[in-house]
Amino acid sequence: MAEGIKPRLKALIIESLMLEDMEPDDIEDAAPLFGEGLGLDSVDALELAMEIERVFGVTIPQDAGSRTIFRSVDSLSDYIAKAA
Amino acid sequence: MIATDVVVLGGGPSGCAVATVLARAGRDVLIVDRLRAPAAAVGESLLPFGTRVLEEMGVSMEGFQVKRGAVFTRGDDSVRFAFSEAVRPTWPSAWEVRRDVFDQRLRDVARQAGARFHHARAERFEPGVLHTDGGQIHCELFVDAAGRRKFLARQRGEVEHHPVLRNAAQSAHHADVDHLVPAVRGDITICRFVGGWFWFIPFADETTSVGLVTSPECRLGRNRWAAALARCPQAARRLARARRLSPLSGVENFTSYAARFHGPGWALAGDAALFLDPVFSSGVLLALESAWTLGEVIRDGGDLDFWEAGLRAAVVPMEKAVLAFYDGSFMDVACAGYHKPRYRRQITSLLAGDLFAPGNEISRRMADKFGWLAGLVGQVETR
Repeated sequence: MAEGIKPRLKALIIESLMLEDMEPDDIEDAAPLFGEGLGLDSVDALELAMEIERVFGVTIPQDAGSRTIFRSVDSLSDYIAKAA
Repeated sequence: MIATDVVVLGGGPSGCAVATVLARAGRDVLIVDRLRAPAAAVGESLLPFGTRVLEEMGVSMEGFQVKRGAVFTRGDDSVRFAFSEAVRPTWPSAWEVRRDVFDQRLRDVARQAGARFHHARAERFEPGVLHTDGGQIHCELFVDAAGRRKFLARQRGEVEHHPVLRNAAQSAHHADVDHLVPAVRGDITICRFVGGWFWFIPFADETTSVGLVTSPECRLGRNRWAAALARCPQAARRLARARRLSPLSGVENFTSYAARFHGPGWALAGDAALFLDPVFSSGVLLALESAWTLGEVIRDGGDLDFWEAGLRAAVVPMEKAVLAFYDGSFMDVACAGYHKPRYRRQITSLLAGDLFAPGNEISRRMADKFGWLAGLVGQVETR
């Protein structure tokens, strides 16, 4: 199930964070979203959490654990698949 | 007694738009207005995305002041949004218009399309018949496009005032207003202060429409204008040398929706259906879009429930942004600078009126964010 979520998730990341020069295929499943990976920060994470809640109906807790959830597309889609 | 196919009450932007669509489709359209010629009115600052319908209608905008941006001030802060920075800069500018001139051009377009004008004051509508001070007018379809007095919704007891937005405005045209930086010639300027805000809308002839909007809770006393200026140095500086060219005229309690936008044999367009607080100049855009799309749906025999739902959904981001203006979060975000360029671009899209494209998420995304983004302002790095 997590596999099926990934393309939608990547499209959502690009669209909601307006990463206009990127295509979904440019985001690797295991690559880090934060820091030297995609370069996202905590504001992006907040915004992405809001969009994920709206689109997938899954709430991502705003606590220390969210750092792990937001590590990569792999971890994010695993979390969504389990919570949905 | 007069008989016609379609009666449109009101020869303003929404009435002329719906009449133009239907007359071009060969319908027999009669526009009923109590005024033979358009009068001065508020709603003088247009939005870039309002250009879509103006182009469809073929309205000449020659001679009007081009408007390329909007400036917002609060305290010592001021920030400018340039429409060319919108996410989809389909129309990078709009116009500031004297409404008597603008509305006359719209009437000319409707007339050329084949709509006829009739001078009368509407008194009561019953299915198939509009009663006026000049007799009865029989029609298959009645469209109330007569503005925020909401003739038909009021008669039906279906006017819903907004629970929060209950402001009042007064305004007049002025000469010798100073348009301070960062405004570029033609920009609208909105000066926020505790209890309300001023608008400055510059026209091509160097005169400026200046308005004051206040909430009923804001007790400014009898001389509201002077008391507000005392609270708003930004507006006072702009008006230091200004002369008033016309008496102040007022509008009260303007944000309201009709409970239903259509029924058997009738429909509502423009302010007669919905009117939102004017802080983001959305009035004429909503009037033109609601009326033009209403005309298309009627012409094509489409689903009016679908039209109404789409219109209500399109207004939601704008209403959220208006509420964010009044709770302070819009200005917190706007004045704080930008951690991410996308916020500036999304705010600009909202301010440009990018509300109506199907599946358009740009304005919705931004409108949902003012609250939490304002909460972060103190923490995020600004660029």
